[in-house]
Amino acid sequence: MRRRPNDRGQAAGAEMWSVGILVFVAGALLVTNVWAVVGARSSADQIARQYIRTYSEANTAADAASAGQRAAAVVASNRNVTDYRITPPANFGRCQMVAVTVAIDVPAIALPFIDGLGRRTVRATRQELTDPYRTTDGQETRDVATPCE
Amino acid sequence: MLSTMFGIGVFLALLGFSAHLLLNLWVISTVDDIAQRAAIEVAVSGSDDSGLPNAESRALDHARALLGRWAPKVSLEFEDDPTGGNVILHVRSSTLRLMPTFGRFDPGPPPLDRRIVVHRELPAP
Repeated sequence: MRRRPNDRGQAAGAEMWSVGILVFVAGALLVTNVWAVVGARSSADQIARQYIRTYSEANTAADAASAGQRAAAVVASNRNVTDYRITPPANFGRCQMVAVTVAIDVPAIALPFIDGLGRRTVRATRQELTDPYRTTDGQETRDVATPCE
Repeated sequence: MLSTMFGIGVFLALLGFSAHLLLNLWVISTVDDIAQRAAIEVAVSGSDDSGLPNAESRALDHARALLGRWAPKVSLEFEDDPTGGNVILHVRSSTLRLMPTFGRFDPGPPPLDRRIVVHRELPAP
């Protein structure tokens, strides 16, 4: 006599394992990506800080730009950041408000074995008022009575 | 019964992996931030070369106090900067061990090993 198949002996919910696993994997990827953005933001902020502090202490505009780039490169290297862009300040000189923006691209969705899907740009901006009593472009502070006017 | 045990096992394994990942990311971020603060503290102290060791010692004590019980697992070491214009702090930290390693595969972020470079603020000559 042939037995008819039925549901006896089967455990319910086995098909939900895959859903549960997917939820965990997706959640772990999501949190990892959020942390990657936080880490990139921290790196961008430190690169910008180092750039602007070096920039605002230089004596000439040309020296400021090159010194700022070198300082930023050191920080980026130590934080393993290779792909970053710097928007340098447009102005230079005492009493000037100088600002720099550093942008780092991070994968929108980081996946193992491939380079990730999509890109998200994280930016950090730092600005600073250049010391009014410093020497810039060969001009001593004592040459002007009120440096910021 | 077997499938239930298997399901619970998978759930616990993934829960352990997620906790391992998240806690290690949190540890790395916290240690990195404390080290960054220590480096900035020395950089803005205004100390000249003779006063630098004292400033570094104060910053390290403060950092270790902030790290609390995790301090013995963190190595903070100031390094000499050839240019003299930066403060360099080499920070290394071990990670939490919530999951076993599978051969060469370690389920979690790598240990923190980073040099923090901060521009040194010196009084104008």
